[in-house]
Amino acid sequence: MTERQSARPPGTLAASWIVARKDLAIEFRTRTAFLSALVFALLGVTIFYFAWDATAVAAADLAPGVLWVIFTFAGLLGLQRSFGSELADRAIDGLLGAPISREAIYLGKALANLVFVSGILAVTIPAVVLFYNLPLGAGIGALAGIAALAAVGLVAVGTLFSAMAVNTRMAELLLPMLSLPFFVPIVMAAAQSSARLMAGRPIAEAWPWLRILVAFDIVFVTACTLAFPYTLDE
Amino acid sequence: MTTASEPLTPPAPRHDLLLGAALLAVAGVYVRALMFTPIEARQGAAQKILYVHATSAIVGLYIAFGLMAVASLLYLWLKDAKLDRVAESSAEVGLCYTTVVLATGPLWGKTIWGAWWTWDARLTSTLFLWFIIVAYLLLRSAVEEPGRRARYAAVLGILASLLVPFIHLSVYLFRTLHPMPIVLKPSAPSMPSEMQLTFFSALLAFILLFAALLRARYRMATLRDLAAHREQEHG
Amino acid sequence: MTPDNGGFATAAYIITAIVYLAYALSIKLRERRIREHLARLDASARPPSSRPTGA
Repeated sequence: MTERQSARPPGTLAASWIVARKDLAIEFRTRTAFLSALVFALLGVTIFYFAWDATAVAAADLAPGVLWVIFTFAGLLGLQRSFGSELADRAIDGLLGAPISREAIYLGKALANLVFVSGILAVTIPAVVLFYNLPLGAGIGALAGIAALAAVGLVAVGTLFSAMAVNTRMAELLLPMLSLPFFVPIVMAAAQSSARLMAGRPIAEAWPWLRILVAFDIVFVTACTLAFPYTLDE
Repeated sequence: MTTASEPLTPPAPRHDLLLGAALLAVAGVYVRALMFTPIEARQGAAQKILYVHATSAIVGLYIAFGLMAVASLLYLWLKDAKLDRVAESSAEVGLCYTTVVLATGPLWGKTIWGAWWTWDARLTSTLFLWFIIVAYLLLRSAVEEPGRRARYAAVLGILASLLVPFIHLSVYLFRTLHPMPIVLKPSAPSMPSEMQLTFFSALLAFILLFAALLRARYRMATLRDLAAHREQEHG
Repeated sequence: MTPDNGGFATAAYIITAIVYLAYALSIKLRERRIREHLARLDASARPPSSRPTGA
């Protein structure tokens, strides 16, 4: 980022990256939210194991369901903190005063959330593989890909609703209530496709679900980016 | 947009004739369906549930929800508070219709499929629509400033309308790959003409009822906003 | 054999009627409450003394 470039306001993508970096810098200075979400995810993985009768259902069959439920709730935890930091002292006015497009603010926040959620997944997925004795293999690469697609969808919708919920009286309740119906197609598609791939089925079987996941991401990243400016009071 | 102009209130008539007429129409359909429509031989009298279940579904899912989505989109474009009130009213009336669908669906399903709930694609989509509309109404009640409330609700309304096809597709795909046990397959809708007539009369009656309830709800919303505005003026 | 499930149909029709009627009633009751509130607001805005109509 040379001084020469500061004569022109940054384009949307560059601005998003700046916003994301700011958010992540704040987040990793304290790391509290990240560590809490991580511990929550790991505890959840263990609790789910004991909630089922291991003799009746094989752990490997349980694993996809557990993974995506944990993914949803840990993701929600991460999203809760998204706009919270801007609420204090109307810090968002500083962001709004900067010469960047509103869409860039949204994309930047979503990007920061994506890094956050990916960080949690990077620990949770190996934990599920470990605790549920999943066979390591080519399925893991596909699982990572599915997780990435699912995370994009979750973060796209969750960042937008987080921006709205933070301005209400019941933010902690409202965010899950608004987001969960939207997470359903994501979780369904991710669970179905990952279950098939981890069981060694051919990719053709998972393909219809993957298409839904990709379509969801495209539709909602676009829609939420366009809708974000309407959530701002200006 | 915080200072909205005072909403105009038309002087409301003493009695709501439209609502009265609509309720009479529905009552007429009840009589026709229960007493003058033949019983379907294979499914029994329970098949008649369809006359209220399927028609409420058509009005609630397509008309009410569709109107809410369109009004939301138009509101973001034109910023007219009237459109916000239409969206809000349509959502609430739609919730009423959706509740009827969800209450009568299992009653019909128990007789046709032998199970109260089978995660059938349409009923599940209706369930999610119910959740979404509840979330919409709760969002509205959680935001105090009217301009912001309208904007937030409109955003949710539009996103929800984008979500519905995904839910439907996902559940449909889920179901075709996980066939649920079916005791009796419902007959294809090649209904004899008397049943068709009952069905379409029911549909018209429930559309009329929707229009009446929508208008009543819209008027209530207008009055409420007027009162809120007056309250703000007098402090 | 035509199954005897008329009870389900009756229950469904009754529930439907109750839901729609209750909802219609709730709209009317809420509207009445708002009208009363509005009347009180108007009454308190105007001073109680008999004033020539200027507004």
